[in-house]
Amino acid sequence: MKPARLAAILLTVATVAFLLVPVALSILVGFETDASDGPLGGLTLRWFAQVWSDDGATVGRSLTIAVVTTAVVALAGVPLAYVLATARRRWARVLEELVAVPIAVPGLALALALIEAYGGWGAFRGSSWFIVCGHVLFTLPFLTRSVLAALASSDLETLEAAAAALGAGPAQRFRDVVLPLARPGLVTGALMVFTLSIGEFNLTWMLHTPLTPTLPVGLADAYASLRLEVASAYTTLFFVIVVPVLLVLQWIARRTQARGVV
Amino acid sequence: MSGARLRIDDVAKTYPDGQRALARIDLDVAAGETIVLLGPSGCGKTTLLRVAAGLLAPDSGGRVWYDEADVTAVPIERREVGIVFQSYALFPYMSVAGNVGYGLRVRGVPRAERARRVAEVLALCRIGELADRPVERLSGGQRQRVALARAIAPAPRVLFLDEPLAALDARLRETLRDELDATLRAVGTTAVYVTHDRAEAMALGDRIVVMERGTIAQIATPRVLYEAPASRAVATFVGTLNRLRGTAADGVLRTRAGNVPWSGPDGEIEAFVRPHAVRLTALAGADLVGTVISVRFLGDRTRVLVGGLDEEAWTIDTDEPVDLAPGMVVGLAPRAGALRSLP
Repeated sequence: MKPARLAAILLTVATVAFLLVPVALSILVGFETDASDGPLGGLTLRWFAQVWSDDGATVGRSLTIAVVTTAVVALAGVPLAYVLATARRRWARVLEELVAVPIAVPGLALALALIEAYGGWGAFRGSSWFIVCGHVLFTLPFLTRSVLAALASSDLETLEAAAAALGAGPAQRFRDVVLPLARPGLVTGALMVFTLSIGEFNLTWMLHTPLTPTLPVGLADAYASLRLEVASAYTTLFFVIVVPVLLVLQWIARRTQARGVV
Repeated sequence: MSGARLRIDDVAKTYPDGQRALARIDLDVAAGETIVLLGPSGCGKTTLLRVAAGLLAPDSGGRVWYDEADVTAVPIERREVGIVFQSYALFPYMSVAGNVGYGLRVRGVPRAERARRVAEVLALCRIGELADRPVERLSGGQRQRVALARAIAPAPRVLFLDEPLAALDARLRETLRDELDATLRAVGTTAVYVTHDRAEAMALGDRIVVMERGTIAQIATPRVLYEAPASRAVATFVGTLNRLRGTAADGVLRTRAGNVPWSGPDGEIEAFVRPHAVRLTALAGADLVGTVISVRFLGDRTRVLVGGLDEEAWTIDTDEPVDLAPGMVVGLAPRAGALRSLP
């Protein structure tokens, strides 16, 4: 083997190890009876049981919030992207920039604004809907941009004209032309929104109440106030639940993209 | 199937930026007629097509009629038209059959009847074997045929074709032009065909509308257009012209290259003749005399450039074998009546 090739392989292994060792250690600590003794001090599932009994509800809440957020963002984002793609006036360009603002604004500031505006609405403030509201604001630009890019790369205007000439009214054109053209962007965007929502912490930390913690919030609480072993078990749980969900979603997305012809 | 009579009544179009694309046009297309809108880019021909089809609204006062119905305010989806776009605009996520059947599907035609009609139209356009192909795996010529099939499948009252062959290479264009002509005749609907290609216009049009700067310069059959153009601009656009200047009196036009018989008015004259309407003759007894600049054999004809008749060299096309070389002096005889002045 040539020295250059060998060096390249060693560098790759070293880099991967650098990235994976902390993950492996973190997972391992979750199984240790006492972190200061290391793995030789004994292994246990106690911490997992504790996390599950104390915070198991955050899993369902996080997934529900992510699903609802994705649905709301898709329902709002596709029509918004369509308007931006077809309107040629200057206000459309301004609006396009404005939609992206929540990405640049720190999540804390966005959350503060929401609390100042709607914090007085007790029932709303105390529900998971308040978190959904923040997630929608934060993730809408990602899906809108993604759908807009898909629409912009197609000859939307002429295809719509072709459908209209063939007798399709506005609703039929939206169903038969806009949606199929938007689909690749919609799938990519929805996946991104779901992923962002699952892992979102900044906003959620401000918006949640003791009754509505999500997975990342519970994780932060565990790090801040509990034993290292519990926090590590929590991290592992997060991976075990989120990674398979994301893999399945990506697989569905790829299947949807590949299925081209109607 | 027979189409609707299409009438354009005092139609003008000014774009929001103030640019005037059409200046008060009137046009009457008979049911079943194929009319070609011909002109250079920017002459307003595509704008006129879009207004007539319903993709653009005319300025107020303009009216578009299909038969006895004023369709000016009718949205395009209720006009029963067909459009073939230059880019074809096929739905990329549908198969060929899906594209061709779309117009029938949105009209609620039952599946079985739709399949029968799609098969019939695909056969008419010679693409029956492509039915299940995704459109992304078609060649340019195949896409063009699919676009035409899709437009005629719902039996449109008026068929609009916007430079349908412009995206194809020259040889394919000629083949498809003849196919298209046959298909249009078979379908028999009223057709409005936009092109900047004069050969295409001549081959396809029952009548040709020559447009320049948003107005109609002339409406005529291809033959009349070529032989009796209404203006110098039209004449130049539909074919090459040779110019000859001189003084006319007593039935003779006297020029610096010789004297020719002349049946037009007397006085200082600027006369024109087509390349194929001039014979190359022996020097002795020739009307006009010039010097050969170049001889090019083009297969179906020979093109000879001759200087000394006017500032610009004359182009002469002949089917006969010629034995000429640059620098030789030749006689030229315009065919009787072919030399004429133009407004």
